[in-house]
Amino acid sequence: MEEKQTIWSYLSTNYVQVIAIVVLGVILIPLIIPISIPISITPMVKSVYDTIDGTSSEDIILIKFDVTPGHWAEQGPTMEAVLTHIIRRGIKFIFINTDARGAATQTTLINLLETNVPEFKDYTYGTDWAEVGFIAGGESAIVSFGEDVWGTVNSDDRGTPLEELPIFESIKTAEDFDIVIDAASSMSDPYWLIRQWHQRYGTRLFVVHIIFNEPELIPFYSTGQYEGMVLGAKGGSQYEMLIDKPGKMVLFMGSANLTLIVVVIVIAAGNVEYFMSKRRNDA
Amino acid sequence: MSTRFFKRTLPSILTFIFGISMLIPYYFKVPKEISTTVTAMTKWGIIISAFAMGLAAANLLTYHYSVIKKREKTDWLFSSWSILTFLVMTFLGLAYGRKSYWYTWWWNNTVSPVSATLMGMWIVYMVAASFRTYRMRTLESSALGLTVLVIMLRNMTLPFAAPFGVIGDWLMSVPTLGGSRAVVIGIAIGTLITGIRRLIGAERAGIEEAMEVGE
Repeated sequence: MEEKQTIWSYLSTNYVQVIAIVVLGVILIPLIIPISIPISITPMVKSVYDTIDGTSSEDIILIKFDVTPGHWAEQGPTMEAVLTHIIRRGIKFIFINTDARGAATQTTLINLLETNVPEFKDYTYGTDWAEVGFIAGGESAIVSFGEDVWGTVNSDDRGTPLEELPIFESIKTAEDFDIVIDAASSMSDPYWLIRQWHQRYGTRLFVVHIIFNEPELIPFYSTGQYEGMVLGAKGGSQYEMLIDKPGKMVLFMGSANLTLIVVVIVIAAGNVEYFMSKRRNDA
Repeated sequence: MSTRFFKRTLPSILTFIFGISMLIPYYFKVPKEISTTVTAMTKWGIIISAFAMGLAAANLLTYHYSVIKKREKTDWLFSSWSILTFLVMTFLGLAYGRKSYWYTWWWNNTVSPVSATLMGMWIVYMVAASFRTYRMRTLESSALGLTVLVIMLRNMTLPFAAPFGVIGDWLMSVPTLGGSRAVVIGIAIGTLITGIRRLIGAERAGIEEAMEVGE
């Protein structure tokens, strides 16, 4: 005799499809109808903001931009917020990539800055900002660039010799960068800068990373090796609030919150289903 | 000279010389001549890595060409697509430059959406997997399930989740921090031991295999 199908038996066999539809819904709805959510600022994000806010316009920030296309949605708008703050403060910055994919996503970021940040129009390439481009070799590239910038690269990403770029006049080694912001998606990269720059030159490090890697990054924040961290959409939304420019990350937090509620419900439902089936079997 | 010398002794001697040369300037102040030489050696690393990327590209083409040649199942279609996109990206990069409109357009309409889709699918599977993964069958699985719940609630910015922020922060700053530190220190000790073994020639894994591939 065919067993009568209940809602529980249906869900327990087709739960992946049901969950996929629900997740799609909770991601899309807040993007169409934005939800107003209170966002509190954490010390690790505030530290990044305060440091940039206290940096002089004569200082130079190095941005190691290794954001991969898969993590762009989480890190791209966050970096846009951080760079908006840097540009508003009139601080000079230089990009470097140790991941070839980062060099490509960086073009998208610069296009966004040109469109969304009016102050960026006052920035002159070569004087106020520059792109070193991709350097192969991973940690070796970091070591070499830190020891001898001009010996590692003799031209920028556009083929212009460093002698023709005024921003590089005062940059010889890692010690000449006042702050380094590491925007990376993989977990191996942050260790390079800690080992090779922070330990050797005392470089001040800040990180913009995916929230997935928070447990691995926390030990370095607690020791002060990272002075501040902006992690995931949560950190990005806080930074957008700090610069008073709510954007994609604040909007995205609506989707993130609802998705997390779905995860909590799914875990609870999984347990209810488990205990009900256990009780049925015991009976 | 025997084959053993070229396969074992010479790579070990070279590893020792280069390893020690790189290590000493990290910990001690050395004369400028030595540090200049070491800096030059680091640059060789960059050149070798750049060469390795070229080699990887050649290997990618060779592999996919062999798949197309065999015409097995539908794999040859995907391999053809791989080679086509590789050639298009190379052509656009060389002809118009990496910052050009067309190169960026191709990147933004192939690599970016595919990567974002894969990440999006990962979220769906992760949520679906949590239905069965975090069942509180035993004491350990209950602890895991409850921790996951607290961390999920901690990452929310909604007002009702605020109390979980305090518990979640404690979980992050005490047990997670302790566990992560243990892992990091463990990796560091393991790396140090492997490094010493490699320097003194006791660790030959990789070298002999590389020499055999070379033959």
